[in-house]
Amino acid sequence: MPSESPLFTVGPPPHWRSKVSVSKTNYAFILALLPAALIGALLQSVGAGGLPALAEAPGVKLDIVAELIKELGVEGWLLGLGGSIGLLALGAGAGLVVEYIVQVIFRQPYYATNGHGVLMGMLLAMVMPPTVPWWVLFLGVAIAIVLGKQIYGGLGGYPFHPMIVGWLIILLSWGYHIRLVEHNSIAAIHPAVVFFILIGGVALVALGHVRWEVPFGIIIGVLASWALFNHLYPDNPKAGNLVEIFTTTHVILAAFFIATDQTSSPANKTGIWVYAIGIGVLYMLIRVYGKWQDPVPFAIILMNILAPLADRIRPKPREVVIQNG
Amino acid sequence: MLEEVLENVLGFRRPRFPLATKPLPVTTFEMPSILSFALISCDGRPFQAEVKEGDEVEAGQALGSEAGRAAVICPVKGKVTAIVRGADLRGASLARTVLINPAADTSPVAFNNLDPDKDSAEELWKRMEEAGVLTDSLCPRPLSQVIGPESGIEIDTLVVLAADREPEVSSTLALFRERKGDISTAARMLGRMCGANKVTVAVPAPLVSDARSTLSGTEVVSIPASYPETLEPLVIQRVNGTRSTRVIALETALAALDAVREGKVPSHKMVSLISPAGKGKSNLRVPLGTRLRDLFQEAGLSPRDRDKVIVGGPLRGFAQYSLDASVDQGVDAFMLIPSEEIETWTNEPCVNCGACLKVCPVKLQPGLLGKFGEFGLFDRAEEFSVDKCIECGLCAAVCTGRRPILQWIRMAKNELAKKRASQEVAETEKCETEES
Repeated sequence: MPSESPLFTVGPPPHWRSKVSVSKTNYAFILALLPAALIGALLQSVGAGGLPALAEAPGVKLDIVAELIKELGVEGWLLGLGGSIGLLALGAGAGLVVEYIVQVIFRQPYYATNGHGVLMGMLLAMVMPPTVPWWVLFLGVAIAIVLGKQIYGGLGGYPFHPMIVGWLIILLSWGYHIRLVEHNSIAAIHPAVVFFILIGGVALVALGHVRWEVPFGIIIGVLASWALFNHLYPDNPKAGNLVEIFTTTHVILAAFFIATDQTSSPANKTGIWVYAIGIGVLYMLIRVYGKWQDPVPFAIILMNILAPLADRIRPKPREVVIQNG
Repeated sequence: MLEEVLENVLGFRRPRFPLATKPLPVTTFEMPSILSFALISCDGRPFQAEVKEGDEVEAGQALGSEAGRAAVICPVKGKVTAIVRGADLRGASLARTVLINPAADTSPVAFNNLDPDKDSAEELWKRMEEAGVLTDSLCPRPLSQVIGPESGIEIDTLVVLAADREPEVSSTLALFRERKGDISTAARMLGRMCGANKVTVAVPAPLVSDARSTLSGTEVVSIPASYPETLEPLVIQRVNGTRSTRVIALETALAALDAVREGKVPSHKMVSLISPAGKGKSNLRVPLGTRLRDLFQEAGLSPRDRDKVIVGGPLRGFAQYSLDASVDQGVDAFMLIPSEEIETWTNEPCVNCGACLKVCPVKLQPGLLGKFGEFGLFDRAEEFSVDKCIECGLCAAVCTGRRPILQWIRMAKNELAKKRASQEVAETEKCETEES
């Protein structure tokens, strides 16, 4: 009996799927980071990054515009705010555009809109001082996207965190541009910003976008190695003040927003703990014995190298009996 | 410990797939004017037709056979109106299908009554075969091939699973509530038939106290009411089972009891309707052979172009290409997903987010296995215990890259099975040449 039937969509099970997706995770990261970024930009321009600092800094950006606006009588901090927000916009925009261009050249599907490039650029802008020349930031983002990410095939393929690659290369090559004043990046300008980063980070964890083990492990690693160092060498001040470490460096940003990158970190539980605690310990080690006060990129990239190895620590499969029926 | 505190107390999100804990009300479906029976096994072997167009058939008569043995049994008296090529439920190509117009008398009683406690096991197994009792599972097979003389194993423990296997399905719970009194008898009878040392009834945790009070004298095991704990391999593990443990669905056990005690051919199936919103809506007692078009019409749903029609639960069900397929003894739910709600698969690269690792009930590496399948590294998949996968589909359900992980795992398993088969053939040939 021939009978008419609509044309149905067919497909393999499961027919239910969680609504989480890669791009939603990236947008969640960006949204969680945005309050801290904006407040940081504001504080940067009011505080250390106002017009006076801008004018004195070598390689100053926007100097012609600054002169012009000064002539017109605009408040200094407003200009500074423009500069800080401009940095954020430049970072995020460069992330998007560079990624799109690379994907066109490499003939990859256009995943640029999934927000990952934007996130990388935004993160990089947040760790730059206000005096950074625009081309250094742009170069950093371009390096992050091209050398850190797309050369390995893009999201899912890279071994090192792209933003850390960009950060390290400009830190080591054009360091004099981004190391002028300590603790004056958007992300570390003021404890309030760190507080907002923390809130955003906890929200990400609560929503399930971030494996909670990573920030936990990093903080535990920092605390434990700080305590151990102070116990062994009570007179040595190199480890610094704990409150200072957490409120004026990039540790919290790294713990919640950088080290939590999924591709360059392990996925199995034990591996995650090794990776996270390793970052915390390495951070303190480099801080105490190295020349860097805030060695976030070094700690993370070293543990990125170890991540595939750490991920080999896998749970034993549950013993199940599969019948043939 | 810390993880549990974080996840339970602070509410950190972890995907959960709870099973229904309360049965929805049951409505009995009127006998439709056409019943349809596909002459095909669940894994796609066609059967021989035993009737022809215009034949009058009785309840208990064979409609199709395989190797001289009855394979499809007619549950009602009626007339064969046509034999056509029709759609199969499980994605096989068109199968020869017998359409029957049921007579006014729809009684499924076809045989004399036997005593479930006294009659010999041989007699009871003969009854299973003549009544055509199939297992209520993804691939319904004759009971005797699963736990009976033809299974080729000595059953040690038999588990009667009085729990639904997928979220939003409550058909087994509804049956449990209706027929509590018969469960012990059915379990005892099946245990005696297959010579099991131990018979247990597995029930979802919320029903345990109820089950313990009504099923006196039968061992009751509690199963967590969350998917996929009620799937066979995990149930076996929970009762500390071995290779000689078998799990039989409650509905199969009750059908077996009815065939023995009342001489009935299995004639109805309890089926849950899952609404387009993805929630369990009601339970229907549906005559076997009811076509999906009648089922959906009765349920007040009209599937349209590009919708997804699923027979079975949301995580393991079969998407249908035609409404001509009909309900058989392995169907426990049906659902309609409107076209705008359908989530498509994409092939984005795995970003190593670890969501699949968190949900895998067997603690495998589903993301990695998926990649091995994708790139044809089947031996690597074998190293990573792909054979232990119970195919619950949770990995693919939570995948942020929307990767069809389950399909790649199935492909890897399939390729490995093929390879083993060809190796065996090669070895036998080698032995034969050596002998000659």
